[in-house]
Amino acid sequence: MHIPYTTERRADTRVSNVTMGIWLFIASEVMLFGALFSSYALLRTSAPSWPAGRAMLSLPFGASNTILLLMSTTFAWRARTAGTTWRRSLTLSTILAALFLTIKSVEWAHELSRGYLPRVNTFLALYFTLTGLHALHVIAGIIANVWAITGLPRVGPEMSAGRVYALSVYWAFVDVVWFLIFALMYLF
Amino acid sequence: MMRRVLAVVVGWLAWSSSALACPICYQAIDPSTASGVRAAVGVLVTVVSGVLVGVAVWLRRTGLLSADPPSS
Repeated sequence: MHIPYTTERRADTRVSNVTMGIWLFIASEVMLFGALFSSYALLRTSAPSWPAGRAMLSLPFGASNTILLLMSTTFAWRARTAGTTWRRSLTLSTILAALFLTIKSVEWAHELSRGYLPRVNTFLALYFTLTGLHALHVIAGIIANVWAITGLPRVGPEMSAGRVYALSVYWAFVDVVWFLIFALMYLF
Repeated sequence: MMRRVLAVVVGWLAWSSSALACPICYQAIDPSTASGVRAAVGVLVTVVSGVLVGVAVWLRRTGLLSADPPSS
């Protein structure tokens, strides 16, 4: 079955449906995380006291995860212009994202072993909600990366290019959300 | 029959705690909660405005806002 406008641009929107779709998806995701950050602003501003993120969380874990995710997104963006080697770039991006998740799991285990449960205080409840939802997005990104890498023989290079473009935009969004979480939870 | 149902619903609403107004809406003096709500609304308005501005910029670029249909 041929689905129109997956690679070619539409006359009315001047973009392909892949581009349109990923940007609409990003807009809805911005709303989702926007609501969560709004909750953060409400709870933090109205709280009589707020624990220092640096004291409760591990800054080295957070900083190394920031670097890993930044590298992962860099490789996802490089895949757009990598020509025939885009699969290698996207594979590296996937491995780095998986490393991010591994470190995050170790960090969570470390925090839970110290008794830092979401029910302890509002800070930890927000921390687990935000990082948990973000981790779900990283998992979804890894699945999408694998889907794009393995889908090349079936759909061809032209359609794969659209997928790689959408993935690079998605990873950039996941990065921006992580920077905000890192700044709000670990630094300030 | 309809009036009775309506009367029951109105009575239930009037007696239930859910009908009590939110103190923030009635400007209760609670500075920390009020400033929290202000901050939350500020964040949400900023996020929604950002998305809407993005959509508006895209509509303008594609010419979908102009009266003439875009040429293919």
